[in-house]
Amino acid sequence: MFDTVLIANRGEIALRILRACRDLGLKTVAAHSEADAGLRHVALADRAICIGPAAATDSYLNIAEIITAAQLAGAGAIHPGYGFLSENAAFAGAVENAGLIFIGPSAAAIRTMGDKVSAKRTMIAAGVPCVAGSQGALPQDEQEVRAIAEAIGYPVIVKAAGGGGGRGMRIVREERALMEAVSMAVKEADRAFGNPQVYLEKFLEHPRHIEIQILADKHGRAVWLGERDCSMQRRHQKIIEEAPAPGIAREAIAEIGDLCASACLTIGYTGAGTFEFLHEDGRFSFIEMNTRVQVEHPVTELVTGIDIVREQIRIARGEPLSFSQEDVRIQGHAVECRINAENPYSFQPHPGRVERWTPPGGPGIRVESHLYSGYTVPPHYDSLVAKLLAHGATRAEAIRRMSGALGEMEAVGIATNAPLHGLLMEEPGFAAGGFDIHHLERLIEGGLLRGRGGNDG
Amino acid sequence: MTVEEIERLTAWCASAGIGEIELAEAGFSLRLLVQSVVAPTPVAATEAPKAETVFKGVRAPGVGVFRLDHPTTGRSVAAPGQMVRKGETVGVLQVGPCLKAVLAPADGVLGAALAEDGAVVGYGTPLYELV
Repeated sequence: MFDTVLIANRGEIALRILRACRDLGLKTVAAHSEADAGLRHVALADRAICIGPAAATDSYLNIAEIITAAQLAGAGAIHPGYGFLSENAAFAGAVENAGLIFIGPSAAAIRTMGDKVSAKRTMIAAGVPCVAGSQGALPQDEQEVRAIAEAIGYPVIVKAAGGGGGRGMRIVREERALMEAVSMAVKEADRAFGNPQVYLEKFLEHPRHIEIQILADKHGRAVWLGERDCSMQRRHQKIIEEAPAPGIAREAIAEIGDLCASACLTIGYTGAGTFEFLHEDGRFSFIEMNTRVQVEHPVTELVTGIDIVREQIRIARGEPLSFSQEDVRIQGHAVECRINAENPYSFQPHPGRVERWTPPGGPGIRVESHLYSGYTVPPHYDSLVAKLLAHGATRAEAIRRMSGALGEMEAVGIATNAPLHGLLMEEPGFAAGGFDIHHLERLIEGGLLRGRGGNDG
Repeated sequence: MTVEEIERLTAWCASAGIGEIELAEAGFSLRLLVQSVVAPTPVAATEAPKAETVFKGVRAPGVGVFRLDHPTTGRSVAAPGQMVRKGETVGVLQVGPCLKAVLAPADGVLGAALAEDGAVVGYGTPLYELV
């Protein structure tokens, strides 16, 4: 079994993976781009190897170089983190073919769940509730498409089978706009994802985003670790996540959680994963599965005490889960704020040199960040530079602790969205909890940022 | 192209000091004028000159095992003190059964090898001085 893990990612998640490996007594190889030689995990890893220039396509997405680096550096496994190649079935397959272990599900499971149409079909077969919609990809025939939309009932949403993260979607509120929206979506999907298939779903007006974290080992056991509420979003990007979800009965969560865990066994899924649902009028509707560790996984770690990344690596080593469903207890409440290097009100990325980094601390505070004083945030990648987490006995306590942490945090030299998070911690809708995924955009339209130098409101 | 990608491109142009960029592909074109509003702050400006001195010699083109001697002929690929032309093969990277040529980036005289035979090198690892 492997004793060295190659980390094929960057930033905070690379550091998080390194720490999990260290806890397990495993050695690490940091595979980094030329622009990332100064990253914290590169300095801490047992070995570092540059896999290409700054552009992600030539480095973090370069399958051949990453596998070569693993082989030459003596790594027996590759952890893909999130983003980049983490949900790329061809990469997982190439890692397997090279005789290495991919820390994640099999290439086949990634392929099944990566295509939205086949994922939905699989979930329906596994008994997981889905949004009403077309049976798979839309047919060519216009009359058939109209009939499908009619049967679902307007408004409907056109989605790309190969899409995700909010890309390639179109809302249609009346029949006369349907065919144009479908043909545009087909063209876009073909261009953006290389897969022209689109499908129709009922468009939900006021859903919350609720997701279930699962872990499944290679011995036929799967558990669910509670839920996360990720309804605070802007342009389909989550910015605040919390657990548990306010105002949803534990029995309802348990019912959907059990379905998710058993679906893992049905599809032969192993490793960590997340089932994402829309929740409206008391009903859960599956939208997609993320076949990797997620940005917001520490929220669940705080309320369950389970180290998800460590379990992910243990599962890849063939070890059985170290606990059972009955051992999973939700304790208190946790909130995460994603700190991006960007102007808090105009959302313009703001990379640059961090002259001084002072992370917050104190009871219930956890910081996941690769920042240090003197580090330069490069402009080539995602702007996430830190995740602040607050844990408390109650939701109100967690929010108070988060407000304090946001005030303490200092990243001199770059702009961050911490001031926006500070505003949101005080916002009545957030304080009440249970808001829908359009809440932040409604606040911005209502003038939340007016007079603050932004151009979004 | 998504808004996020355009934002990233804008930030990248600003940091690279590019004032204007035009992109065009089928059914899509984009023209960005980057104004000085997003120009580097004084802090960033003072930082630029002290970037590490750029290595001008021969670098590894990718990940591989550096070979001073060609694995098939057994003879050294290039010798220190040798005059080389830009684009000339001056070393070899071995990846399993595959060989990757290491090319001189400019005309010059090859200095001493900076990596040992058999060393695992990464993209950009300095391999030879070039003067």
